[in-house]
Amino acid sequence: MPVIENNRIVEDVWTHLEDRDSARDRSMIIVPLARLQEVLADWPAGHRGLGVDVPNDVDVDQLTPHLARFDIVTLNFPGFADGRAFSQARSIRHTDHYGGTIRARGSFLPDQYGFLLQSGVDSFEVSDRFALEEWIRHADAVPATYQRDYATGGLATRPFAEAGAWPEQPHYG
Amino acid sequence: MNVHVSPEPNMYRYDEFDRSFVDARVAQFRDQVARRLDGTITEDEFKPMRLMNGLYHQLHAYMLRVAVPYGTMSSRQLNVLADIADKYDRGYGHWTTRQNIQYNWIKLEDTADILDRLAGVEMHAIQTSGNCIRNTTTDAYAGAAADELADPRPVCELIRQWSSLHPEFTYLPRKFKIAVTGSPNDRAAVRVHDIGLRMHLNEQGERGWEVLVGGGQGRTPMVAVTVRDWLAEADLLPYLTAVMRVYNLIGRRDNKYKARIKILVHEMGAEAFSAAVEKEFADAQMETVEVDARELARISSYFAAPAWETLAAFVPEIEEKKLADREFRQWLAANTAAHKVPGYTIVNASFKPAGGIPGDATSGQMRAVAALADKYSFGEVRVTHAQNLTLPHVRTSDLIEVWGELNSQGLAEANIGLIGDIISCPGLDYCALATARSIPVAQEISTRFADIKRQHDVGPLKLNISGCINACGHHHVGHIGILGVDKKGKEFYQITLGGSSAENASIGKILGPGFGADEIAGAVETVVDTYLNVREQGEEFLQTYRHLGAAPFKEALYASH
Amino acid sequence: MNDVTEDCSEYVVTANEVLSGNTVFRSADETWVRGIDGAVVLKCEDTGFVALGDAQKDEQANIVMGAYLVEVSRESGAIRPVHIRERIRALGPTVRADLAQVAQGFSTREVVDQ
Repeated sequence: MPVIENNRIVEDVWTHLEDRDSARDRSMIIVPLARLQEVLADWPAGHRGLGVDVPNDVDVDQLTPHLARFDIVTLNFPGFADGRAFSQARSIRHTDHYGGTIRARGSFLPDQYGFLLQSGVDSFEVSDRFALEEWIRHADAVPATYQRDYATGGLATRPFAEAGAWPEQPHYG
Repeated sequence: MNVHVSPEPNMYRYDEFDRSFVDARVAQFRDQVARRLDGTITEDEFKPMRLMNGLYHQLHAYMLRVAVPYGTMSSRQLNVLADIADKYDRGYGHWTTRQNIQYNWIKLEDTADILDRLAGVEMHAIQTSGNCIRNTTTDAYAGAAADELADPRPVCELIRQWSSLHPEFTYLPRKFKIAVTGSPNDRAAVRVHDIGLRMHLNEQGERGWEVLVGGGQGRTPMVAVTVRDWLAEADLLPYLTAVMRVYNLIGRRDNKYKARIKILVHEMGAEAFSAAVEKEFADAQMETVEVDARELARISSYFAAPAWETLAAFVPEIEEKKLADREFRQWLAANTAAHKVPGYTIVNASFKPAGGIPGDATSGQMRAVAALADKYSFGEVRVTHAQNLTLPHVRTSDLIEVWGELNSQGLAEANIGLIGDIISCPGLDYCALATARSIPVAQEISTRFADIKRQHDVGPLKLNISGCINACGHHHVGHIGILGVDKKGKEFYQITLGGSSAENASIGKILGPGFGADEIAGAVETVVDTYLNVREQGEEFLQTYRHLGAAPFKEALYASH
Repeated sequence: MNDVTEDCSEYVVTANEVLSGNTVFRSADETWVRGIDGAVVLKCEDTGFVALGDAQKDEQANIVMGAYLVEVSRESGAIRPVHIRERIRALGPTVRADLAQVAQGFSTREVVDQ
């Protein structure tokens, strides 16, 4: 499936580890969360090229101690209306300060592309149903956001009000 | 030449940022419609998109729900709502139980143009439907009520902006409704919302918010639990974010009828739910706090008080008319409320004519109220939860003229808060979800109780009618509630008693077996007559019910069967 | 064994126009008309489903959406839906006779009193 990053189609350098395959001597693999402990036990220290695939109904807090070891985390959309991955992305990217790639997979629409970017997703495994132009057009279909600390490059946020003392408690009429 | 210029009311005004936001949203919707029509996206994919712009498809046509943020609008906006009714609908609109307006006869091909027209007066239909955060509602008397601590609307506006096209919370398990009250007399029903916020002072005298979560109606009505007794205002948005994140992550998605946050709170238990929120709140970064305080200060400046005149509270002319004219006296008693500034009065326009369709407004009536607002209320109008309109700041000395003008428009029926002030969903006459009609029931009951003197004798009584178990008529919190169901293909009605959305919120209890369409109005009349027979001196309906329980009513309705 | 004189219900095919949202009915010449009086009546559900299948082409072409069968009966010669919800959908809100969907001379209030 095509992968979009930085508004371009890129080569997908990652492979999802098949069910019965061993992770030994592999690199550039994404392992299912359920097999993580097993894989990590065998994974050489300092070896990069590891990613984890996270179902959208698990608590991503369990990943926090291990995040530094992953170059990629993949999140899932079983259906486009199921928005759990937005919060998972936000938690990993913003709360846990994850610096690697967060990729969205599954059923999501171009109309959600901008929200995913704002939530911290920076890689997209898409079906070939929509052309690249259709996707990137939605990055800033609404070019302004009220969510100042979710903003991603290109989206305008409200300019700060003029500097000056503001009351400790809001002034009510 | 006299050029009439509408006064600019003291409410939030869009700046360039807000305007660019809403304009882009309309352009985006126009594009989504085009892609629906050329088949690029399916109806299943398009449906959530159009819902997020307030466009339903109902029984007869598309229905557009336009947001009236926290129920506040200017006369200029109200005039545009009238124009839209005339140009794109059948000359009328409907005030909803969440302070919005609905148009019943909209075409998809016109919708983007309507949204453009609305954007021109700083209005929109963003997120009035869909599994996202809906219109934040409040007390229709906000900024005017004598009993309020402070105007809650700056916080409502802060929440509105924060919740608009929120990237993380636009694909929730289900819809999400927030209500805010600035008064201890809760007219915003905060205890039956997904999140309710109640302004109050802590022991240090600082103003903050009680946070209530998990109230709601529908199939499983529940009263909210308190997750925070007192939250500093500066923490509001981060705290709300924490609640939303917990809900978004672990709210049920397996069953549409178990997907509201109230189910999550109920199933987890209040303590476990609160703990989850507090943990999320602690984890999340607080960098937005300073920003929020600045934002709130900026927003608050729009809500500065109008230029009050210094007036006497006692207006002899009004007092004389009160004595001399019974109808005026009745109207004052029911349709007006105490204003915090001496010499001013809050005035309600009743959209509940006896035998009429509750909450429907013709374009002519809308324009008339807009003109009244211009002349008498600083250009400001409110939509109430009871499907009426309010003129919040009328000089007491102008009351006779205002009454006369409302009367000429059929908007002065003296029934606000009384049994004639029926709250009714559109029901099977309009709604694709309904199982029974509600409006004809409302019409028959209001006709039976048309006598104003009788209504005043009965006293405060909230009667709510829902045409299906989704409870959009809020029947669970009616003092008398009516629920329309389908019984073997025929319309059938259940009565509940004792609901309340006020401070001591309660869910109404089913009284007994239901009634057919030709019996229900008579049954309600029997309930009211029973109350009149058993009440103690000065006791209102709800008090009598809470005092005596269902027994006298059951006996009156069922014993002879 | 098929009995050609089998007693079965009558149906019409209905849908909503995508652009306008209007309630429409499938006519004998395979177009969509506003009033139920113009609908082609299909005897027995099987015939109905065949017509419904044809109608779905127009769904795919994004002309109409949500096509389904409505059971009808004859009342003084006119075709009317059997169930109250479908009656109101076909005829208009019972509380606004002025917004009736069908030609005048017809009181929507009357038809729902069964």
